[in-house]
Amino acid sequence: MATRIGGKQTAARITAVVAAGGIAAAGLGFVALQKAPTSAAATPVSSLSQDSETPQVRGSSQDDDASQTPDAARNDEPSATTRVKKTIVRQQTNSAASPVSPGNGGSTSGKSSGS
Amino acid sequence: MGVTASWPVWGLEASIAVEDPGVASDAERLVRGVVAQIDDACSRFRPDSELMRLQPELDSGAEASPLLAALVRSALDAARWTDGDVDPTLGKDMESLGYDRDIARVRLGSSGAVATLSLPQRRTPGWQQVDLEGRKLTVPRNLRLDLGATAKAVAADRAASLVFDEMGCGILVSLGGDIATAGPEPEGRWQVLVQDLPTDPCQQVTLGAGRAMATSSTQKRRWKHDGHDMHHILDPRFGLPAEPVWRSVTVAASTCLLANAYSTAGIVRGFGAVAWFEREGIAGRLVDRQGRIVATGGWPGDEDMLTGVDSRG
Repeated sequence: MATRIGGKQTAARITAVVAAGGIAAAGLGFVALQKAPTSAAATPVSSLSQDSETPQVRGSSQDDDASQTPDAARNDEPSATTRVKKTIVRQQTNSAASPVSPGNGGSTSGKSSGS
Repeated sequence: MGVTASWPVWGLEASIAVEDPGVASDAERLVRGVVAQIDDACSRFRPDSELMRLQPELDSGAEASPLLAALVRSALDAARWTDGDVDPTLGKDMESLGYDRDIARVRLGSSGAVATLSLPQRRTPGWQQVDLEGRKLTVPRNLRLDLGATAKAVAADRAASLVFDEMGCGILVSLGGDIATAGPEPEGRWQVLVQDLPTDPCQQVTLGAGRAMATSSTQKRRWKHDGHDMHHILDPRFGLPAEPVWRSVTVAASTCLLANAYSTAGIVRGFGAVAWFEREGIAGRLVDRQGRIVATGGWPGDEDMLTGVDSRG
């Protein structure tokens, strides 16, 4: 058992480093796109939403087998009505404890995968 | 967990899990009934569904059944929660991209309308043009409702609740990976394996009693159309498949409808989904194209992850 936990911890650290690297790479990619000269033909369209902590980068570089879906500026400023509704959603989502916690390693009752 | 049963529905796998073997067959019957009712109400692949029958009258307003009205209301809720990233008015866009039949038949070859893909053009958000006053439903002539994603989630929520209400037992209902639970949890709690394709990183998690989970994927329901690879999650701003920044997005929430709305919107929103989920407190697991995982909003940390192919089946 001790060996298994150690292995999991090592895997977790590797996963965390890889994930952090991926986020950093995405950030660098975003900065690079912002600084790149404009070229409608070759430059993936990128945008920064009004919320400056939410960079949104889309374009062809991430996926070479998908259709091109350039982004455009998005108005992230919610209306008063939207804010109220979002508060309701947040309350539903955060009510009591988190809806999900670590698995216990026992037999599973279901599988969540895309459809 | 005591008993599980599974069967095909909508080209997907439906399954239930209950602790008492004696109630499994009755529970399955109830779940099948809910799924059939929802299919009758809103299938866009069946000319005899209520939605398709009402279609010619919707531009001037038509009286919907309580169930269809509830399904439309849920879809509009999802659109509001996601600022329109989940839009139920993409039916015509889906048809023009070749997804006008059951996905198994779509994959056999293209037919029907063929739209040549050119530079994406911004389309007017459709969901705000849908009017539902009581049960009177009005949809502009140029729009077609596609309630598929939210209807599946609502089906899971309703089926789980119905089984608990009728039989008093705890149940987990999965419809193509959209999961809802109701009633008391089993002794080992609800254990769920989160994994999209068999080669994707997997994680076993505990889903709280009465909670739900949904995964949206850009790797499933893919087809070729006009020489292009398609997937079924459209960006409503353009009516085209969303940029597949994420292989899959999984969300746990209080209802399957809520989880489905956010998981779908997470695909549409791309990189921006991470900050959005954090702001909203959404428990999410996002897997990028390289298989790297980002967890948000209280989703269990990496130290509990099982990576690689799961061998427990």
